[in-house]
Amino acid sequence: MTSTIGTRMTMVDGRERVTGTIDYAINIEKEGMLYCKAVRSPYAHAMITEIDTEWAEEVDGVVKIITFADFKDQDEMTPVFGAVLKDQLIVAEDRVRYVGDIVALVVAETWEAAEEAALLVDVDYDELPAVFDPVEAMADDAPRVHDLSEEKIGQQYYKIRPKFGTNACHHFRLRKGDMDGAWAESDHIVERSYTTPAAAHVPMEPLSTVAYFEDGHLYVETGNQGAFDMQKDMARMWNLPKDNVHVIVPSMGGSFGIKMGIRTEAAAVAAAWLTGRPVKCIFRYEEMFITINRHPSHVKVKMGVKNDGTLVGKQVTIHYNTGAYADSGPGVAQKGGFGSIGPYNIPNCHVDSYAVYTNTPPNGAYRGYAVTQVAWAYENMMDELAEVIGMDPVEFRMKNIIGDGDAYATGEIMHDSHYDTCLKAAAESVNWGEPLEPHPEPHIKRGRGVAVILKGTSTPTTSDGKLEVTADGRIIMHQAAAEVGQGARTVLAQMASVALGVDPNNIINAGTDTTKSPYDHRTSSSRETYMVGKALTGASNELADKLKQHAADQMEVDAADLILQDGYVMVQGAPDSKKALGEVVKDAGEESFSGFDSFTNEGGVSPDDGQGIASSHWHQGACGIQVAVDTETGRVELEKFHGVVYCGRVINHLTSDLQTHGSMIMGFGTTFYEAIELDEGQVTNPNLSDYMIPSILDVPDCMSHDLLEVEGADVHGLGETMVPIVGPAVNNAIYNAVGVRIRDLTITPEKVLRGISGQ
Amino acid sequence: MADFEWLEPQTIPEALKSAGELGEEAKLIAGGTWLAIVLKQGLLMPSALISLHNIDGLNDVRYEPGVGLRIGAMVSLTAAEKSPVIEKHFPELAYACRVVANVRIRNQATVGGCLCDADYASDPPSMFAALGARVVLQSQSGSREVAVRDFIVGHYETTIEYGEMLTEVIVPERNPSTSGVYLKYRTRSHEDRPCVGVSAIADINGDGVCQGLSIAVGAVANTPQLVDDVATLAVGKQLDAPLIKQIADGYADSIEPLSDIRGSSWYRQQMIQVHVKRALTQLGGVS
Ligand SMILES: Cc1cc2nc3c(=O)[nH]c(=O)nc-3n(C[C@H](O)[C@H](O)[C@H](O)COP(=O)(O)OP(=O)(O)OC[C@H]3O[C@@H](n4cnc5c(N)ncnc54)[C@H](O)[C@@H]3O)c2cc1C
Repeated sequence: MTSTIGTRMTMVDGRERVTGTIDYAINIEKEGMLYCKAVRSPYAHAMITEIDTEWAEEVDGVVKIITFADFKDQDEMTPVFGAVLKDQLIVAEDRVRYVGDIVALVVAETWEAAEEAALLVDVDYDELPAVFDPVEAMADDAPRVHDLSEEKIGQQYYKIRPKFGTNACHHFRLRKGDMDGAWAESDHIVERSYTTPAAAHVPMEPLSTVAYFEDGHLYVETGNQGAFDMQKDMARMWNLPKDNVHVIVPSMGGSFGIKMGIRTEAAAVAAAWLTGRPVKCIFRYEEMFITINRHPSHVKVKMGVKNDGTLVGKQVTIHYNTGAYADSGPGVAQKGGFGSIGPYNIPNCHVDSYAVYTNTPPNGAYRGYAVTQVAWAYENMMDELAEVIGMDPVEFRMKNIIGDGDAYATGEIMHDSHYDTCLKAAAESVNWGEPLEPHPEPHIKRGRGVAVILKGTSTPTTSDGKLEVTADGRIIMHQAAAEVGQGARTVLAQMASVALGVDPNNIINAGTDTTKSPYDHRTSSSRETYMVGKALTGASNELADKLKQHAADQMEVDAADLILQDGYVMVQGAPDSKKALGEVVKDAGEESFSGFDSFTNEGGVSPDDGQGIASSHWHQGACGIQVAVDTETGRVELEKFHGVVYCGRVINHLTSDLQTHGSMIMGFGTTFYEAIELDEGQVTNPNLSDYMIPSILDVPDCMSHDLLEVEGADVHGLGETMVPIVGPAVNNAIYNAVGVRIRDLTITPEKVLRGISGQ
Repeated sequence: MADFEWLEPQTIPEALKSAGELGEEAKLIAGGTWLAIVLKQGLLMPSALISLHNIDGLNDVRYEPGVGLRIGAMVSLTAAEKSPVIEKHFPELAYACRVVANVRIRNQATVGGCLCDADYASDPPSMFAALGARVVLQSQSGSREVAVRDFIVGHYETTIEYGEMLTEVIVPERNPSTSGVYLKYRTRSHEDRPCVGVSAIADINGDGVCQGLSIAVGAVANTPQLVDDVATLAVGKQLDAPLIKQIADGYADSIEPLSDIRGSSWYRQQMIQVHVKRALTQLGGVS
């Protein structure tokens, strides 16, 4: 079998996926299983004065109604969790912090009984003043969502910098150069503010976990992107040795970040712990909209530039609304903080990036993590600045674009940089520089725009991989990358197959169980093909060597003359000599042979000055857009929609194309339609009729992309790259067409028309 | 969802009997695309659902000379959109059904259901209103006809009584010189409900003179909006650009639009103007 690297191999689980035979977490059933449903707060901020469960308990089939009283006065477990700050309880103690906060859990023999009883749990509240906007939440007199104390934070949370006395749970700073000098040196100083709304992830599969205890072991079968984070959390919460916590992760029906961190897991485990039976907890579709969304943001940018287009200084103040619980907010503030400079050389930079509590549903990881918000700001700003100095926006970007050997704002020296190539390709895709033919309809105006992106991958992190050949000839891949539908299992099997010369379809994926699987940091920041792929490549090389050594002894030949092909080892040029891999293992008197490798990307930045290595390498891309704007309605059609994604090396062209289509369409949806609407903290569009995502009919026919490869380069993740830059590229094109600049996502026809008509 | 009894009458009288006896306790269910959502949300909790699926005679589409088009209440929007009879006599009505939601909804949703749910953000109702259509309502005590424009009286509100059932919609016969157009304007996805829907029907004779004009604007207020005194400005005149503008402005000025996630009142006002203008221009307006 020749290597499949760089082919369009179909997904190893494609058939199962489209024929509906994958066992998703939501389909898992266990003998004697109960169902768990959350009872949620209708208030954004309130004290709970009484919970009356009497009526609910009378519903047939109800087994238990869990309130905070069940966790009081016991020391078996700790009912608090949180990705970074432990600020969330399984059920509220005496205070609710958002509309949707969980106040009780109903556990019943059937889902229907749990649903019915949930409506009958009677809770009395005393309302408290609430705050919904992250900037307002920073005011001295704003209601406080949590009371973070110095002692608690200082000891527990390395690298977290809350601003005590405010709602900021993390303050990330980046300091480089001298700002006073920068402003003095600038010919023009421009200040602008931009905002982005919350957005929903909308995976097809809702959130679901089945949990049960057996002989002192805890089993958590769940759709989650961070199996080992979960194992650590559950071990901590239930006071168990880590080895007794089995987090088992089946294939998922999409995630986009919603299945990162604790969602249904803590409730399911708590219910299993209190009832002694297996429990399935489901957060249904409408509940996903109030469980976790994308951080809304306010981004204030001040930039100094010289007349010749040289960038001198940049000051950024970011407020990410992390909602009622921190979740991954501190991480978002950090990654958006250092990401907010963009792919440009700017000698003086100053960033204050805050994750701020408010009384809205919590916000967390979302495809395009932290960067959608800041790229919206920086790529709009680049066009605004170009106009101020009277320079072409592409030329202006080119003049300042970062390249190999340049120091980024974090101080790290850039390598493997291709921002200029990406930008050039995006500009060419819309015939930049050539005259634009007017639209045949006089009320429709055309315009063009571009945007470029720099996005980090989590650093430092570790991934392990193990490959095994058994005496009965099975080849088993052990790894813990989550399959969310992105094709991880396919590309990883491809990479693992190379050294063994086998068909990736014949590699069995062992599945994820944290007590057996090799370690993996988590499936985030488009890191798995790069990280786990590297570990598995090393593992398969080691295994291939081992097989050759043993075969050489068994066949009495020189190991250097052996090759591995199609499941056999053979002397090069003498196919008759072939011996099945399983036979080699068997003849060595072993049950199996395996190879193992571990890969760590090194780095990290300081939260106090943002200096260090933010990303072991960077995700890079650009977008070229041509719009046609109907000046009577403000409706925008895309006439050209081109993505350029730097991949280093493409492992699989099919899945890479699909990921890029997906990220472009998600970028399109979050540019034009997708915003969580809040009224006094309550989500008013928690369904797919009111919260619209693009349908296939909305995807512009003109959508196209390039995947940029460089001989010998590292594999770069590509799953998120396009999401953040569709918005600013579209907005720049709209400005080019009709002179309207929208600074608050989303771009609606109404906002465009208001701009055109000066309303 | 609370428990309910499921009834499957085989004939119209049987259905009317159940509906008459159960009154407020029961809801008729057609395609269920609207009802299922409100049941799930617990906004309605009927103790019985009377399914109209097995009743013969509610699925017909026919054209009766001298009367007009008769569409059975249970005709699905897909069937209406594809019906050669509707396409032949009222192609703009077929079109207004074709642009509803997506194929999954249209396969299930019915003509009767889309009028009875009286959701303001709908497409076919404004077309029925502009065409001067009437609904036939039957009950155990008899039958009555109500013009669609009088039938829908508010958001989710019609003049139907408990025990009554909509059995068919009649679109009256018209002059062969009449044609119509439906413009659905969406601000978000192609599968979205309308921000503004303009149904315009004009009778223009061989000399280009307008003999009758009817315009109903949907999705902008609780009910389809007809502004007769503005529409009649066209009668006896050529639909030229100044007149079209006058009518478009007149519609925009006369309607007080609502605001929702698809557009504010201000925006809808602009969109009424633009789309009435575009509709009339398409209807053979002379420029
Ligand atoms: C996702 C989605 C998108 C949509 N998008 C659009 C859109 O773009 N444009 C648009 O116009 N509409 C849209 N709709 C609305 C859809 O057209 C209506 O839900 C549908 O027409 C209702 O018909 P039904 O047969 O399903 O009614 P049902 O849900 O069965 O009934 C609706 C109501 O009418 C009553 N009823 C039904 N039939 C009769 C009868 N014969 N006599 C008396 N009472 C009756 C029922 O009791 C109930 O109160 C959308 C709906 C959904 C769910």
